[in-house]
Amino acid sequence: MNWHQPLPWSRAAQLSTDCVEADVRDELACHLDLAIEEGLARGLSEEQARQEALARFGDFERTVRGCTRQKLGNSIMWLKLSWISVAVLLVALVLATHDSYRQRALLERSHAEIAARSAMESHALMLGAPDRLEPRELVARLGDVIVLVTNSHGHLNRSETVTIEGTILLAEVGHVSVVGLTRPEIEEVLRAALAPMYQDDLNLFVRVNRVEDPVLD
Amino acid sequence: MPKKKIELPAGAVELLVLRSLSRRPAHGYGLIQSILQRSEESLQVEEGSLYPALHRMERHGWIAAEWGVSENGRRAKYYSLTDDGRKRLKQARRSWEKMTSAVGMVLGTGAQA
Repeated sequence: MNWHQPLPWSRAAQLSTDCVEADVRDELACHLDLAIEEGLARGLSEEQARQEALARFGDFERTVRGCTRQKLGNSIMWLKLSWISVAVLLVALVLATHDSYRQRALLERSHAEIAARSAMESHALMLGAPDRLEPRELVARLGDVIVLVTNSHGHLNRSETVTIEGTILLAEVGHVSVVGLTRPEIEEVLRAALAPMYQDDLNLFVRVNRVEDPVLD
Repeated sequence: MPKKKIELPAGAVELLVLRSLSRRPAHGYGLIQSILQRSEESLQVEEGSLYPALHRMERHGWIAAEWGVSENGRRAKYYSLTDDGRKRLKQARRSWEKMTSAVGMVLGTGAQA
């Protein structure tokens, strides 16, 4: 912004002052015309009449200024105050809107974080704490409990024991062979088996819970 | 020989203008002439006092202004008294009479002197 430029209310005030001053000037000029006319009627020459009218009138410019000031009174001050009030209200409105957007963004972010944390916690609860997760190399064997967890399809969350056939039974797809597979392999097999039923990306995780078997161990 | 003009005290211009306009609307020049004639050439209201007073009274709503045409076909701004102006005239007249009476008492020229 160019600070040499007058502010909007200064321009409006100046415009208002100019209009009033022009009107006053016009009125006083008419007064002088009437006074000159009266001088002419008394037999004075035009120049004499003009000189007399001007002398009687006194300081023309001072009278113009005095009238303009009287006519405007406090209106310029009120005009300035109204402009300032409008500007303050606008700034307050912009700040309030910005604050509201910021609050909403923070709220949304916080909701997203809570949802993510909650999903992670429930996942961890189902699978056990991270340090208790079985190593990737651990392979499923008979009697192990395969825990299925999904974030997207809650009805798939369940625990199935590896049967004597080396399979787990899923109502949706029947028996799925898991024995001898590592956890990532089981996840892959199950995803592949369930894929035809779930078009969207099936976010399926698996945990292999080892049941202590005195015969096998 | 023209009479010596009387210097008008504060508030007198306002009262004289309101009273003159209560008779009939007039432009500034007409008001000066009217006051001069009615005071038998004793009261000469200066243009430098009259016009600012007219604009102040207009702002207060005591008089209203309107551009018109004078008797000799010239453009002029005419002033007329408003209802508020009539009230103001009564008030100003009472104040003036009270003041002149009080001054008269002090000078020993009043009714109670």
